[in-house]
Amino acid sequence: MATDNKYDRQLRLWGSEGQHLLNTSRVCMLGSSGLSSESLKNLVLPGIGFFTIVDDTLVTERDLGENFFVTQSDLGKPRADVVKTYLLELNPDVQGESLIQSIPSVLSNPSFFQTYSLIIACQLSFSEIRTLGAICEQNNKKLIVAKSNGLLGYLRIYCKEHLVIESKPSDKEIYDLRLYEPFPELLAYAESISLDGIQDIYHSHIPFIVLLVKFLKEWTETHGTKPRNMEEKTRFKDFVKGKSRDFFAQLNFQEAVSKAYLCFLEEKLPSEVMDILNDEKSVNADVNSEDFWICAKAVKEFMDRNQTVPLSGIFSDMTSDTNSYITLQNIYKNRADCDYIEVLQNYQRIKGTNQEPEIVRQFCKNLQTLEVTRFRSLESEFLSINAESIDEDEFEESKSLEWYLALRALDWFIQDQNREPTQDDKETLIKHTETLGKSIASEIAEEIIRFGKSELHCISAFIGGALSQEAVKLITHQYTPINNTFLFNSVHTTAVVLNL
Amino acid sequence: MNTSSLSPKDFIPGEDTMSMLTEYARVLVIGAGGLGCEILKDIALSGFKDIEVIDLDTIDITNLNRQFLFRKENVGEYKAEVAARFIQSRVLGCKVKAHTQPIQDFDEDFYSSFHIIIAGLDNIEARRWLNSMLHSMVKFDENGEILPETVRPLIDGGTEGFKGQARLIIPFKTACFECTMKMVTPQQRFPLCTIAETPRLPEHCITYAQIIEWEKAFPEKKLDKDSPEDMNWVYQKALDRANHYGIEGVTYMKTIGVVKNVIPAIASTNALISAACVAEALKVATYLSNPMDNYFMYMGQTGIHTATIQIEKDHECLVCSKKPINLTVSRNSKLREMIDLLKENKKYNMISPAISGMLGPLYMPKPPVLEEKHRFKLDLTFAELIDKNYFRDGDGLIVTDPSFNSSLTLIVNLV
Ligand SMILES: [Zn+2]
Repeated sequence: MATDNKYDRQLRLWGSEGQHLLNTSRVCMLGSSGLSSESLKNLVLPGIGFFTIVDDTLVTERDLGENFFVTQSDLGKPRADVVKTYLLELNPDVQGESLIQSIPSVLSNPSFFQTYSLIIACQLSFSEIRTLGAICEQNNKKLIVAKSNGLLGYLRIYCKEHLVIESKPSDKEIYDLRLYEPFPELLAYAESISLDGIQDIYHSHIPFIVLLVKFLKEWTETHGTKPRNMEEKTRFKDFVKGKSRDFFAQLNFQEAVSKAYLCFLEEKLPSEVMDILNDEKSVNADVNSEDFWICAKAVKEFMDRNQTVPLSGIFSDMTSDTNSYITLQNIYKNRADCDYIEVLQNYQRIKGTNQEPEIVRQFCKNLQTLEVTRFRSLESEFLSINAESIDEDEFEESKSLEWYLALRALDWFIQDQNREPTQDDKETLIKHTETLGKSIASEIAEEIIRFGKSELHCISAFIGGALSQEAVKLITHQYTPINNTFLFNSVHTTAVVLNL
Repeated sequence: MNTSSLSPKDFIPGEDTMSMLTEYARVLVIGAGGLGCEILKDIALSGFKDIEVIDLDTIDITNLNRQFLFRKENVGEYKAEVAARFIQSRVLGCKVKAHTQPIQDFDEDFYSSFHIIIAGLDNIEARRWLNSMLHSMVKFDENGEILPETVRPLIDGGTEGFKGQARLIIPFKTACFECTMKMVTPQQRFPLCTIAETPRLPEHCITYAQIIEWEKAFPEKKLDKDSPEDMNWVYQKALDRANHYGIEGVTYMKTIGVVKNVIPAIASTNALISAACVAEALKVATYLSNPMDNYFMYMGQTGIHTATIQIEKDHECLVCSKKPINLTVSRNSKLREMIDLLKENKKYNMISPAISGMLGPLYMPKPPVLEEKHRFKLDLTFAELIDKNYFRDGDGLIVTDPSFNSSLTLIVNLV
């Protein structure tokens, strides 16, 4: 073994900062069925700090086929306690306790939840979920609710506001090169490099950034303006191409043409990020605000004063000789450092401190991909489903909403009638979903009744996996969580996110 | 559970049916790593009782953040053995037999003795071989119809970081693993001239130290990627080189990442992909609902995006199309060029093909004695091969490659 760090494979995703947040997190798990233990297992393994399992259910024969963290010899013992003991064997770094108390009795004492960073509730009844939702809304707690019934399962996230600095988007490459309006040091460096009379090998290793800065300047001087429309942009690309000695052999010129679009755009922040900087929490940030919002205000002040965005310093690989690459990288890095210092000074003034917390640098570096997510509360969902957000033309989403409503109707029925429905209750279930906003198809009602309260281990394991991924995102403040419901349907092997 | 109109027609209601089907079904789990541990747990709790598991790996400390059947004191033991022991002790009445040999050591009779095969592998080579094996087991009647009793479904899972996929392969019915080889993104490699002459990234320095400097310093010794001493040596050399050029970011962790091509792995993704695989196994075995058709993917990094897609069969697939490989080759091209094509073209992706014809072997990559004997033919053109009577125009050739468990037919059209 080349490393003795058991967390090596996950540190490569969320780094030591993310790991620290995990190690110091406190998770409260309501319920101790298969779904609870599967979810918690995937949080104990990567190393959360502490967990409490709340449940007064005893281990029965049925648990043996649903829950991996109980055994035959545990029959009749408090399930929360048994599950806790086996889960703790997975990771000696994690502390955990069980609270053998009924869930309603814990819910009657909202202050119980005060010390937890995340609350997870599995297989709770309809009214329990509703009460818990209200507690989390009033006390600003992060909550994940999950269910597993037959071949169906879902998870639902609620928190007032989730802030993400490192969203690490998987789908876009981030450039922050200031080619449209090069800053003085960049311009000076580009101008110091001559393309004439140098050997081919050097000509082929000039970074595309230098090429574009030079050619855009030359073009602008000739034409009196930067390329504005489609036609001028195409001509500019041909102009760049024309400057090469052998276009098909010169990778740097090919990169210049393919990245030429970066010259045509004024460097602005995405509108979602501008919304964050202009959010009233940013505008009104003061000593008592969260660091995130103080950073937002500090950046906004920078932008108002300099009429430009602080440079991120993000710099990726490109065709270049070593020396030019390192020089250019340092030009960007130094500029980003200067901008950061100014933002830091703003931050320190607002916060009334002379400390230099890492968050300010991270904030500047990841400015383009900041995220603030606000979740619809469970109570407002129970009052009315956010039906507009569901596109009826999207067949899968629309069908999934029916499955979700069917589960809600099942929950309601079990609570209302104190029994599981039979096929004779089909119409009652369908009628109930009408009151929820959408009538479900008859075969969906039949299937839901067929499932009843049965919990299949592999469905719980799937939902437990998705749930723990989302929990890690909420705890580490990295990556983007779903907003707000994820439904897995193993009848059709489909999974969708619904914003309810 | 009761019956319902969404279940397949032949579904017979009642828990008895389900338990009967799962109890008698023999399941083979391939891999006892991140996915394998989860798969074993899930199938054991789904009622399957007759399980075997194959994995030749031993337990490493970096497995412990997700491979939950292992403890620190198990480090160094065989994964398959520890996993089998654990499942049997936890799930009453479940029988798990462990194997610690490579999958290639097992024959058709072995694989045929299972009803379902679930694979949680971390490499392409083993997947290709397994896919090829399960296809070669299928027999056809005189009309060319598949004999259903010879078909063994393969459920295959894979993960990387927050994303993963589960797929169901029914030999000759659905697209197979080989059909989608083109979708596999090859491991990123840096051009030699970049790492040698214009290094810019820490990765360039690490690769240089690993390939060029190690070879120079220890021409007789292979780099042991699991040895802290060897890895430290590479790290120090990479660091020196980076410092020389002013490149930042060479760390020991990064060095391991680059040299071992470490793929990030987390418990949650393994859990959900394994569960998706076992849900399919359950559907295949019990008719609980229709199995998926045929590929499910999950991307959890930015929100959650999933897709269930029906991957089409490749009608020229080397494994499931039952068609020979057809190559048009110039009389003046050398045998080496054709072999390179078989290796480098994404359609074939072979590792080290051995080729023989009606007149005997044309080229054998191993053992070294045979390789040496046939090597001179690599630089002969097809015209010369015909002249010297090593090859006859129009003859079919037989190709064997470690990617496939059986040989392929190759038709060369000379022009
Ligand atoms: Zn195929």
